[in-house]
Amino acid sequence: MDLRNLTSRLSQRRYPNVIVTFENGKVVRRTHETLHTDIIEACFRLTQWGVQAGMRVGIWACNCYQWIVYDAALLELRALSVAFTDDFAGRSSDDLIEKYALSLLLVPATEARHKSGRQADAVAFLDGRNEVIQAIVRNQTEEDPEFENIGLVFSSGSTGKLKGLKLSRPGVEASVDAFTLVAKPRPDDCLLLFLPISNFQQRLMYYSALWYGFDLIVTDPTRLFRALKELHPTILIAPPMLYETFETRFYNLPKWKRMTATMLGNILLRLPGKSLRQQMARRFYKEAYEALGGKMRFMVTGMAPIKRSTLNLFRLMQLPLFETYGITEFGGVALNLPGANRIGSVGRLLPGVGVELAPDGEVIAVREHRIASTYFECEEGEAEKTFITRDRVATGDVGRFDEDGYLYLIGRKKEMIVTAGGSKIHPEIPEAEIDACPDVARSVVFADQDSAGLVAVIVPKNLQDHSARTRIQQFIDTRNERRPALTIRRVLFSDEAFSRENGLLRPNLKLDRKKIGERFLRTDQETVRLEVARSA
Amino acid sequence: MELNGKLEEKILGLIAEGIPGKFKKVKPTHETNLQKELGLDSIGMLALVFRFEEVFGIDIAQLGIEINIAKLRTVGDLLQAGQDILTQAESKVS
Repeated sequence: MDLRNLTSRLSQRRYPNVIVTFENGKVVRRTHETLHTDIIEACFRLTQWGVQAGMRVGIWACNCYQWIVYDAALLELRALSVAFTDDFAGRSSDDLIEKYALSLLLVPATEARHKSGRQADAVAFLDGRNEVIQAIVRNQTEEDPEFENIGLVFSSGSTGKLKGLKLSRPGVEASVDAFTLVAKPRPDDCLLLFLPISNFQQRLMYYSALWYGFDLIVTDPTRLFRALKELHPTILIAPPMLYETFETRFYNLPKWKRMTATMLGNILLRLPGKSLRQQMARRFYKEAYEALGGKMRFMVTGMAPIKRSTLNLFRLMQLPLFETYGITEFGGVALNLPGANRIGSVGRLLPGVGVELAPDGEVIAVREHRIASTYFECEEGEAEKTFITRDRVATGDVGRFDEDGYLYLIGRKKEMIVTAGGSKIHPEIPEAEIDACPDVARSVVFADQDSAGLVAVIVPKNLQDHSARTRIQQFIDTRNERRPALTIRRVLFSDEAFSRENGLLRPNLKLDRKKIGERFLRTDQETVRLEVARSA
Repeated sequence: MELNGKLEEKILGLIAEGIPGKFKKVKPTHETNLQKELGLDSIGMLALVFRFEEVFGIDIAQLGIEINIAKLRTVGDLLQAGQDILTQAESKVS
């Protein structure tokens, strides 16, 4: 793949691939040929406005066809795209143009307010009529004859603070190629994207669709379920939350219906012949298949850990859901695949990717070219800590491999706890054991400074059922006998689920251990101090 | 088009389909918070809106009706929004 030739590649397409969007409530289909024409016209407009190679052009819009057209046009002109995410809501166009040294900012026509700033001439509408537009000429300090740096993107870090990343073209191409090589999309495949394409993972996927030639549906989240059901995608990439919605609906079926469906699913799993199994599963789980459009052949999830029970349910229904692992700085690392899928793992390494496990178990991802060449905006010292050498990225995740090369993520390095006795423990290990209790919705384990053991904060599945607490305690007592080295000495029960709203989950839906510790250990008048093993 | 009592019953039925297990014992009232007390996250809300469209045979976007999911905080908000959408849909069709 060579992103510099993306536009010309579209004009050579033989299979009539399309891009599908919702516009004014209607489904609009455009062929790659139309897209090619629109990109050429966008290049002409950008050039007329004074955009040249090396200039920075911001795109600040929700998912739409024009986003893709202008992104491709900027690649064609070798100008740098700067993709602004929802995190910039409330900022002014003047602010962004100055702070990020933009020559031009592209916004949707519905955001006409951006035309009232000091730099109004440098703000153009993606989809509306433009009159006087003039790109700002700035002194370019970096020579980039091979167009190695194709733009800037932003990513929410684990602390919730935005990081700015410089995109490396060879890194982006390597990541797209690796995914495409193993996922093997066909010309008649159709990928659904609904997360903001200002988040780079989504753009990687549409680069794959445009370069390798398969259909693409681009929608915003409000049309997600309609797009799934009515546009029949075959490939879906979504966070665990989406798949968990299906699980919730399944468990809310009447008990007899749920139990029958489970029993039939288990019988199906033992049947010989894949095609017979799938045919029967389509009949038994008709509603789930229909809700997903009926043609789904490859669903991927990542971004946060998915519940094992959700993966098991999809397996039971013979719906192809696979867990993956990647980080924005690096690109995809590992992926489960049909025929090479191990539930609980994030799969085998993608082609061209290596992983070294540091002495403390940290996953060091290795690839000749990574997606981000460096940060241009981050906390002090973070770039040195992450980009450890030219081809190595420290992920901050702790993992292990099984004998067949499947990678398992154990937890975050900075969340490793040190007990008063000096033992280093990844809290996810005892948490997974506690979560196996049928009455536990979620557990979080901390070091118990007083007892040299561990303390668990537990959210019961049924918050109203107080007898569940006794059962959970009994479960933990039995477990403690089996695991003396990881004894849970005290259990604290939460009266509410962890959520983003109560601040106990981060915006990316991962546990905010620090806040959970502060809330439960301190409110319980405990003197437990959290020992967090920071990376050296 | 049905409104009020029957509408409320139908919408409450749709809400019940999407409540995660640990929130199931909560008996929803008009004041019940959809997210905190019933565990309906953003995707759960989108699924609920789509089920609403399916059950009532409408396409909210096609009718040009604006719906801001972030503003739907309680069961009461949702019931009111459902009623408003159906009234608007009825007036656009007629």
